[in-house]
Amino acid sequence: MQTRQTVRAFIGVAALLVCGAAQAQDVPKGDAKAGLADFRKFGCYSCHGIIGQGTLRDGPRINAAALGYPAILTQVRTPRYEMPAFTASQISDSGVADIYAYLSSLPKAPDPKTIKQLQ
Amino acid sequence: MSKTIKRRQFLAGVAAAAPAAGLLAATGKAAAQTAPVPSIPAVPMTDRSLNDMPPQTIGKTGSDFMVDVMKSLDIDYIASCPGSTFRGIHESIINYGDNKKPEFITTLHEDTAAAMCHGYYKVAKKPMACMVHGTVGLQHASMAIYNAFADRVPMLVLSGSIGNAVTRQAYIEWNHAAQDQAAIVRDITKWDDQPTSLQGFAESMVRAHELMTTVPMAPVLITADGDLQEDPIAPEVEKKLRIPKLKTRSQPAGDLLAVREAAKMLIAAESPVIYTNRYGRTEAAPGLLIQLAELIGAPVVDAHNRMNMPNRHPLNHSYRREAVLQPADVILALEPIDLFGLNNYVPDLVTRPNDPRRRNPNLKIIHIGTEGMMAKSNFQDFQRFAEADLHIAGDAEATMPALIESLKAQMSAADKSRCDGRCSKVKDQAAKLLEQARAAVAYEWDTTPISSGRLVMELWDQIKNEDWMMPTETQFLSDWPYRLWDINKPYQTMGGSGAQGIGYNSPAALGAALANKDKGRLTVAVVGDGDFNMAPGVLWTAAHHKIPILYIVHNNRAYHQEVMMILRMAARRQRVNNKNVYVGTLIDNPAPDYTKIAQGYGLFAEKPVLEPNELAGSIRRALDVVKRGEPALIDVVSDGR
Repeated sequence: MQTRQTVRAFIGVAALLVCGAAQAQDVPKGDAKAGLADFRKFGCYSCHGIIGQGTLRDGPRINAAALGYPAILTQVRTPRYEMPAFTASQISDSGVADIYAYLSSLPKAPDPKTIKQLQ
Repeated sequence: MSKTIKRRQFLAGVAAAAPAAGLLAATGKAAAQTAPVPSIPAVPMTDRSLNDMPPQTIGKTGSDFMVDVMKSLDIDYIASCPGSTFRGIHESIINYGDNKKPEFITTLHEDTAAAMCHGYYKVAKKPMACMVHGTVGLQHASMAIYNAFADRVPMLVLSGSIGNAVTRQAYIEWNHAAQDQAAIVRDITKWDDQPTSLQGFAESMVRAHELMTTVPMAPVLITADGDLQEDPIAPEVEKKLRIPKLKTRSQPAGDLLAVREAAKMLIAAESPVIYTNRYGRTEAAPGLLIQLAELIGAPVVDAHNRMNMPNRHPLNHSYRREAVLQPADVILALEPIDLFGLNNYVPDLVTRPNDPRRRNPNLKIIHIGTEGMMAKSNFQDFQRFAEADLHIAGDAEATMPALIESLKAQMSAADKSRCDGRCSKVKDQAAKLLEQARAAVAYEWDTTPISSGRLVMELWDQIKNEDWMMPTETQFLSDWPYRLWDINKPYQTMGGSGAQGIGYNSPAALGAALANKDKGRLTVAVVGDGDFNMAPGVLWTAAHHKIPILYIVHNNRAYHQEVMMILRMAARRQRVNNKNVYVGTLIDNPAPDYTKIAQGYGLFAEKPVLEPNELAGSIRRALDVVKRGEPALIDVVSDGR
């Protein structure tokens, strides 16, 4: 996969982010522990990284409120770009909410200025 | 004993058994050790008689002369695992040639030997040789030869074959002989020959060297006849032998009229972009590219298949690819490899639709390259056909001085001022790229399994003040080195495998390390576990020859690219919940212990690194070993990407 694809993916993610912010009040309460299990079971980690931190070519960052719940649900059901769709028969809306809860529960990234190896 | 006994059987008996002395006396040939060497035909048409044969070879043999030829070609190393079809050359290299120029590098697989040549060339900028057994060894080596072919990298592949049916021993030597063994790799080599005389061998070797090092470069194969290697050289033949002198050839540059037209188009452009991929052929390449980019004020998008441009140069916009390509009205593509893919994409979706990239409707494309100059029919590495407005057939680096001169000659003061202004603006746009990458890596800093970003930056922290070189691919590491390291020397990276044939990184890195050893550079190689498992024996070669290199195994316990692929297939087909979805893609249960494997081959290796905080110490201790001149390995249990 090419870098340009990733760039497009990020553009799409940005659009979804706006969408998600607009509907933030609709976020259902999810179970972060179950979400972690589903995050692994459905292979989300393989493209988005073990904590949803994103990878350059395969999947953008989705942790730490990079996306709202509605945006994640929309992407899961009717994905843009190369992510496969997951129907409700595979993972329910509440299952997606669990994944969202897991991603939201992750600690914020440290300030890169505080990491010696990044200076 | 029959008088028609084969020569090898006879000589083998002489060497192996005391009764052979009696045999010699009985045949009346004992005095042959001091007698003049009989003249024998290089390739007899009939069975040789036992009485025709000397008991020992006195004086110079055919393979001794072959080593003289290799020395004339300035070949420093020849990698090989031994094989009887080239035993004559092998013995001549180590004894007659004193194991110098070339030095025999012992490998545990022919694929390793060939891949080492690939990596060596990309650092040393001169070819290395490998020597592979007739038929079987060549087939082993063929994958690495294909990678080098697709990457347009030269290597001298030597092989042996006993061409004469009447001098072959029964069974095995027939299996290791072929009527035309070069057919195995003819589609993926630039040239091959199977000379039948020593003079022919000399001329073919020099021709092979000239051809493989002239763009487009690629591997060449010379098959040395077994009898030609092992037979003594008749005195009347020896005095006539002559090795042609190897002369350096210039590389084919683009036509000057076309170059002038390209310069005109670039000067007229409002938003020119330079795209480069397999451009950097010599260490002069990055400097020339910077000169060109600054002259016309163009951002550069580098696809990294060679060391093309320092990654932190403010005109390097590789990670703003679409942002700079979309408004471009002229793209100058330098050895792009995949010109079609520059402006098109086939997404991995059901039905694989074509997805042309959004581009300026007035876009003009200038292509300078040699991709089409060695297209063959079978292997499809020539990529999909792509149009350009101006095609210049020639080596891009060799064409660069003429293009720069033509630009300078045609630019008015107003043009210069306009380009300078654009240059400043483009440089400003790159200012935030490094900060963005640092912020991105922070997200994965403390993860377990260890993230690729943490691994790469812990390594960088300890090599940044060294004279380092990283020979391995980075696409499975989210390109962190290109995004975060300071890669500013023209030898610090070398691109990828060419054909994406797995098993390239570990042996190619060792070839690079061999070249770096001669230059006193520190070699650090991050290799995937899938790749590493294709050639673990490379570790023994590193230890045996004391080639300093740090191997870090990015151990995600999977063929992770295929984990993603199969999950994608399964999800598309509504089967992602299936219990078998990971069958065939994991390298786990049991998880290989690369530390023990490395120790078994004689390398320094500590326990596998499981936690990010353990990385720094582990890297420091391993680097101490490497700096002492020995190889070391670190097994880092890692996130998928």
